[in-house]
Amino acid sequence: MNDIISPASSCKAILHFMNEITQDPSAMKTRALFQDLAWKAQSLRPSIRRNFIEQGLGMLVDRTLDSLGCWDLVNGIAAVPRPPKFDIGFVAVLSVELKAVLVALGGRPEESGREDCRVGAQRYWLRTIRRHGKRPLSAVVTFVGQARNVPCAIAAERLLQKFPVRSVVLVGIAAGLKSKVAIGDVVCADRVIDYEHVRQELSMRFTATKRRDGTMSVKRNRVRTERRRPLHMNLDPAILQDLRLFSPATGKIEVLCRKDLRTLEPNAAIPWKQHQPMKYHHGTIASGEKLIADGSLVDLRLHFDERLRAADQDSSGFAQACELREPKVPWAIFRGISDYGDGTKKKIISRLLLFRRRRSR
Amino acid sequence: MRRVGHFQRKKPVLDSRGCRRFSFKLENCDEALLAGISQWWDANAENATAILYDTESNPWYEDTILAFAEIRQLYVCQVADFLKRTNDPSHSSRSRCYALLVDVVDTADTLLRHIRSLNRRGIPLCTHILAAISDGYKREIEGYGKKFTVTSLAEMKQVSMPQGQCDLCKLKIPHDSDLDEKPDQISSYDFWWMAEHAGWEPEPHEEVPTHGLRYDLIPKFPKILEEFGDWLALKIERRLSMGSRPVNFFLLHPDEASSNALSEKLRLRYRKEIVAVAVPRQAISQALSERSWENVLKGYAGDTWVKHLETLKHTSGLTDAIILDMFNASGRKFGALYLLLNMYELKPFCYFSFVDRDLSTDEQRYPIQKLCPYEWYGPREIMGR
Repeated sequence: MNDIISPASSCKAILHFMNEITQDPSAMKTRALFQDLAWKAQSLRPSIRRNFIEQGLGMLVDRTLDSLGCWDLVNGIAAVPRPPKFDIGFVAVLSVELKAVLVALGGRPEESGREDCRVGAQRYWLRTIRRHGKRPLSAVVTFVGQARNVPCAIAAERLLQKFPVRSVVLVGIAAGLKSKVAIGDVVCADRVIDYEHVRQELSMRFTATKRRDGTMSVKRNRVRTERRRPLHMNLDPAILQDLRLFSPATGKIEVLCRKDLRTLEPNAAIPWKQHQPMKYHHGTIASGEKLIADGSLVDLRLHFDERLRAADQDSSGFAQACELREPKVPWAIFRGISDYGDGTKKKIISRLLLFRRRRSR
Repeated sequence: MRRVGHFQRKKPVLDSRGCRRFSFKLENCDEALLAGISQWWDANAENATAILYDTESNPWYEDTILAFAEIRQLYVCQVADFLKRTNDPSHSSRSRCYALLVDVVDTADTLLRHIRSLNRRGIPLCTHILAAISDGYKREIEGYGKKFTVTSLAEMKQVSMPQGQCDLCKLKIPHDSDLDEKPDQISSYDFWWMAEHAGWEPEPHEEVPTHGLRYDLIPKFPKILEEFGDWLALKIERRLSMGSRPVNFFLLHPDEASSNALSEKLRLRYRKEIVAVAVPRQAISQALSERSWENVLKGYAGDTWVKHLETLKHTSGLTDAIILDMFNASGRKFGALYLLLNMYELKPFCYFSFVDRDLSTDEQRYPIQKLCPYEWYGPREIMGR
């Protein structure tokens, strides 16, 4: 007839009745209601639809098992407790960065060998971030194991699939633009540019040469050219505002970093920046498959974005995994500057450059 | 008529707001109400010479009360207006004895509030009160030192939900209006609530077609119709009144308990001004297996429904048919009835099934408009498909 009644409202009502049924020995009533639920949920967004269907299916499976005499399996198969909604997910790229994240969250570096949960090859550490006067935040940490966009996208997608997180953060190191950032600084991405998207074309190039008799000859050559087609991913405006308003107390962060670094490397002599305090920057991060070590970061800035501050090999995959999810998951990227991408990379402990970041909500 | 929905208590009950499951509607029953009021007045009104009434949720009842007062030459006034007027000291309201007439008495809180307000102003009240609808034919209430007897013309029970305990509020289902009936579909909550209220049963054997499998469990549709049929008929009427609709039409439906009940309720809604033709289930099954009505009609020649169709064929200006059904499971019953109308050169206007489980929009299977107040997917399993 007409569609004044919203499908979500119908689904809620049907689930309510499925819950309310007390006597359904053959599970037929539940099945009838589930048929209605499945139909009504068809026009809903996939994530919402899945939620309704999962709830209904759980009840249907339980009651069917019960009707078949498998009452001992009820609440065992169907009613798998839904994982709680985590406040924040951390993706670290390398294992040293994982250790640093665990220490920053109040743990010990040895904990990196004892994950709380493992799904296939992916390991997860579940942590709680305590805050003064505010409710604690639940966090889940994972790591990729290697640099590059595709592995990072897979790890992020697996994390989001397994744990419903409200927001997700990528932490690690990156090459910084020498004129704008210094080693030890932190760059927070407000935009990610995947700079390696190109269209390869064949085009004609004409070259004129002078003959001996003084006349000109024109040669036509086919040359392979690349037309750049960068992919831009912008931060969620709400997260962007939060990050812009965040002004870290540099001194306090350095104290925390020192403490964490001592936990990480108790016997190592920690290099520290005496004269130049650690700075927090906002800007664009360029991400591609290349490990930049030829100083071409400056060119990237000229070509793509004046606000470019750093380059890495993971941010694009991570951002795309979050952006293309249904529904979108808010994301943020924090990169510590480890070198200038010019081949003069010093042996700086990458852990030094991670600093404690607690997302204020 | 008892409308099912989510209705808000407008007046605070026991200092808290709450919700009601039903809204009672007095409509198309003026004569019966007038007769009821007259009968009650003669037996109980004692020395009353004036009427005070409250019909806030049923404005239709007001006309009947006013008509009665006019016939009996009585002073009549709405309670709220009357209370405003009595604030004026010059108002000579204490000279008469007043009888209270109200539309619905549920918890009687509103009634007691009226009695208290009138009592404070020293208004003499008749100890008998007439309610059009109440949960008992006669009930006694005590108010401010006096005993009052509430007589009702119709007996109907309300389902009340205190604030904070209403499932519909928890599900964020908006409130319905007491005055206006939307011509939309039945909500999932209302449908399943009615199903749970009426109970469940296996599909009756006589209604299962030979070509299909039986539904193991379906709501008791005849009971739903018995209890809420008037409301459902109102919904169908509202829906049919939308858009283009033939001025004169007749109903064609299978001769099954639920379809008959639905057809009867719809005929009542139209004050029996529409014709209904009930086709036996056996004849439909036979026509489906033979894929033709010719032989079937020969076997049923002389039956009332065949005569009806023949008469309708020759009636000018009455050619549009509404194919009515309680339950559309596969569309085959519709197909047979559609074919039957074609046989008699009668024009089908639309197919109206109360619950559609087929939900197909295939124009070859449903060449005419298909309407249904509730869609519940689950087509019948066809044998040999």
